[in-house]
Amino acid sequence: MIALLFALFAFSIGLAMIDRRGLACGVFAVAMAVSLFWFRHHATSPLAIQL
Amino acid sequence: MISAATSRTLNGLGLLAICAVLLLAFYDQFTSDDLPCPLCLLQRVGFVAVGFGLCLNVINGSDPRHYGVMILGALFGGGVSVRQTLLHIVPGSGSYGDPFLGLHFYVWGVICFFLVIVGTAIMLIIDRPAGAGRSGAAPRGSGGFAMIAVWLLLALTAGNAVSTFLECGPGQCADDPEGYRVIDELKGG
Repeated sequence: MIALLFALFAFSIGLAMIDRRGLACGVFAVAMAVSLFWFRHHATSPLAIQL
Repeated sequence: MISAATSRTLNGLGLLAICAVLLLAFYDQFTSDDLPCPLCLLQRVGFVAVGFGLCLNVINGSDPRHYGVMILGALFGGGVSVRQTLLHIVPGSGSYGDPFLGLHFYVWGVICFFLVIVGTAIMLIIDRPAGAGRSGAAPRGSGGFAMIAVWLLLALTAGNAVSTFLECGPGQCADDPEGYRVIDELKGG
């Protein structure tokens, strides 16, 4: 669910705001990995171009 | 080289620009009833990721690693934007959503993420990391409009989480959403 991505990013911003930069960057890395998974999942439509 | 205060101001302005993009997307979503598709939502994720790097610069002081975070976010968002643009680039292959100032949002996405990468590269050249012999106080815990922009990004990100949950529910988002799934199910059941 993409809503979870936004929740993870909101959590990482909140962690950065309370001076937990390392943990914030860890949550950011997880969120980016999940984002890539969802991008791969949704980018399945064939392109109408010849590569 | 720019001062710590100038760096913080520039990063705060960049953060406000990211917030403006997310606000515009929300405005279009609620006033034109133009529901975001999964790729549109992932482009918003890219903007939030760029905003996270800017937040780190505002809160902790500028650091090349924070700019690296911004570039990663822009590359992700740019990749999604390019993918969606290519889906509709051939005449007759349709489009998604209404155009804004003559271009669709995903084309604006390509332009914006490209500009983020250019801007970040310039900042990497002119900005010296906090504590690297730069005069002036470190911006840690700084007040002012930059911190307001951080709070605004946090609110917009949380708002997107709620809005996306209402649209998609706990499962996968529809490719061509026609309504807020959770609200419809609550009304129906």
